[in-house]
Amino acid sequence: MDEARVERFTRTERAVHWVQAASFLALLITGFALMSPQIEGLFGHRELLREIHLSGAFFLFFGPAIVALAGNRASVARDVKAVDTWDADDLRWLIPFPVLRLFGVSTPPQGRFNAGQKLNAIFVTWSTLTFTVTGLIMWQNRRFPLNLVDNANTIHTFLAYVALVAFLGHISLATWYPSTRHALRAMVSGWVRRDWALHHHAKWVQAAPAQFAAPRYDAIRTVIQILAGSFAALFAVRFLFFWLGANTTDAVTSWLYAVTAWPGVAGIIPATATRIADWPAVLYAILLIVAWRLADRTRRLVQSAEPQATFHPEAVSVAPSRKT
Amino acid sequence: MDASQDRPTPQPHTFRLGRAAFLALVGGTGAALLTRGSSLAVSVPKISLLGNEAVNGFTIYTVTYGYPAFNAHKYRLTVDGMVRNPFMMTVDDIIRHPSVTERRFYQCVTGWTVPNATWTGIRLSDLLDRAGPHPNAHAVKFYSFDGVYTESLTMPQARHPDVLLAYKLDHKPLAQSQGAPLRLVVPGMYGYKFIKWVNRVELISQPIDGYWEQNGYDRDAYIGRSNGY
Repeated sequence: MDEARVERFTRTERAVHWVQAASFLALLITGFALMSPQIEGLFGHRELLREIHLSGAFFLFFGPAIVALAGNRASVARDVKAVDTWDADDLRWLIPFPVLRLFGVSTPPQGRFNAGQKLNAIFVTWSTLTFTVTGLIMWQNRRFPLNLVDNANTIHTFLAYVALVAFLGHISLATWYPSTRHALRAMVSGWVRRDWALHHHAKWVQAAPAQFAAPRYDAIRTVIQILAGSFAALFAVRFLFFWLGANTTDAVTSWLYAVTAWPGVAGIIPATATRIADWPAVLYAILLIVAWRLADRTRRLVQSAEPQATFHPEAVSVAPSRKT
Repeated sequence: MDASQDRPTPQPHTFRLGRAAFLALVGGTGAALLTRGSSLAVSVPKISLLGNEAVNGFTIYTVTYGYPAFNAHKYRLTVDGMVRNPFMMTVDDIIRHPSVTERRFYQCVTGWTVPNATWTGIRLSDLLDRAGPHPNAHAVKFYSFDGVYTESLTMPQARHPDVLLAYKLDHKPLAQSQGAPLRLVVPGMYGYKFIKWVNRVELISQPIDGYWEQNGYDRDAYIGRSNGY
C-alpha cells in the first residue's frame, strides 16, 4: 500500500477538539471529586476544586465556540453538516456487525464520519448543553425552585456517569483498538493514510475531500478574533451574572467582574441576588463583535479543480481488512 | 456527500437526522428538568460509586470502610472535657430522656437534598446543662466510634434548641448506615456536620477543624453561606 495521505482535520478543527478535551477532562476529574468524598479526600481543598470546575465549565461552553468562530469556520461548518446529514448506509452501519454478516452484507461504506461518530458528536453537543444548563442551576441554586435544583442535580450526576463511559469508549477507540486508533493521527497532525481512509471512510475519500486555504495575515486576524471573541463572551456572561445577581464572593465571579471592569462599566459589584441590567457591558459586547467581524475573512472552501465524483461502490477497493 | 447540487445524476437519499436527534434529546431533557415531585430521582437509578449506597433519599458516605457496628449493651455516650460533672449514658438512658421530634430540610455539600427529614432525639443543650460547662469552654467536639471522624460546634451553635443527638429518622430507629445509635443533627448546616456514630461529646476551649474541615471545608457550615456559596 502506498503512503499517500489525505487531509482530514484543519488546524481549527483540531484546536476545537483539544480545547474541548482539556476542559472536559478537568471538569470530569473535579466533578467526580466534588461529588464523591472518597475521591475528594485525595485532593482536599473543596473550594479550589469548585473554582476549577466553574472555570472549566466556562471553557467547555465558550472555548470551542470561540476557536471555531475565530478560525477556519468553513471547515467546522462542514463537520456540522456532515453530522446532521444521514443516509441509508449510516443506518445500516448501526446494525450490529454479526447480524449484517448473517445476511451476507458487508459493512456499508461510510462518509466523512461514520454513524457512530455522528452519534457521538450529537451526544457531546447535547451533553455539553445539558451540563451547562443544569450546572448553572446548581451553582445559582438559591435563585431557582428547589424542585428544579433537585432535578438539575439528578440529571447532572446521571449524565456524568454516562459521559464517563462515553469518554472511556472514545479513548479506547482512539488509542488502543487496533483498527481505529490510526484516527488519532488525524486529530494530532491533521492527516491520515489514504488506504486507511478508503477502508473506513470510502465515500468521503471517493468524493475528493475539500481543501481549505488560509487567507493572508491569518495569524494576526486569528489573534484579534480570539481576543475580541473571548471578551465579547466575557461581557455577555457578565451581563447575565449581573442580571442574575450572581454570587460575588466566588473567586470565578470576582475574576470575571475584575477583567470586565472597563471604563464606563458599572464599578459597583451588585450584592448577591440583586438584579441589575448592566447596559454598558452589552455595548462593549456589541463593539467587540464588530471588531471580530472586521478582522474576519471567512475561509473559502477551495473545491478541487476536477468535478466532484459521486460515490461508485464498484470503484472502492474495500480492501480485505488488513491485519485487523 | 459533498456532491454539487446541479448534478443530474441521482443523489443518494439523505435526511437531516442529526438535528432531529439533537432536538429530541434537548426536548426530553427539558421535560425531565421540569418534572414535579420526586419522580425523576426515583426513575433515574442512583448509581453507587465506590460503595455509596442510597437510603431513603440519603446517599451514604463513610470515611472508613463499612459501617461501625455498635453493641447496645456495651455502648456508652460520654460527655466530658471542661465540665463540672462528666457523665455517661447508656442506650436506655438516652431513650428514657425527654425526646424532641423535628422535621428539617437536609442538604449535602455535594448538592443533593432531602426536603423533609424527620429526626427524633435528645437536645444537645440538655446534656450540656447537665454536665455544667466550665466558663472557658467555648466549643463542643464530637467523636465518632468509627475512630476517625470528628466535628465541632461553637457553644452558641451547640446550644441552639434545634441541635439534637438523634436516634430516629422518619420515626424509625436510625439505621446502622445512618449512624446508629446516635447522630448529630444541626439544622441549617450541611450534612458533613451531622456526624454519625457519636459516642463522645467533649467540651473544649476553642472549636477545632473536624474531618472535612481539615480538608478545606468551612467550620461554620451554614447552607448557602459557606463552602464558596
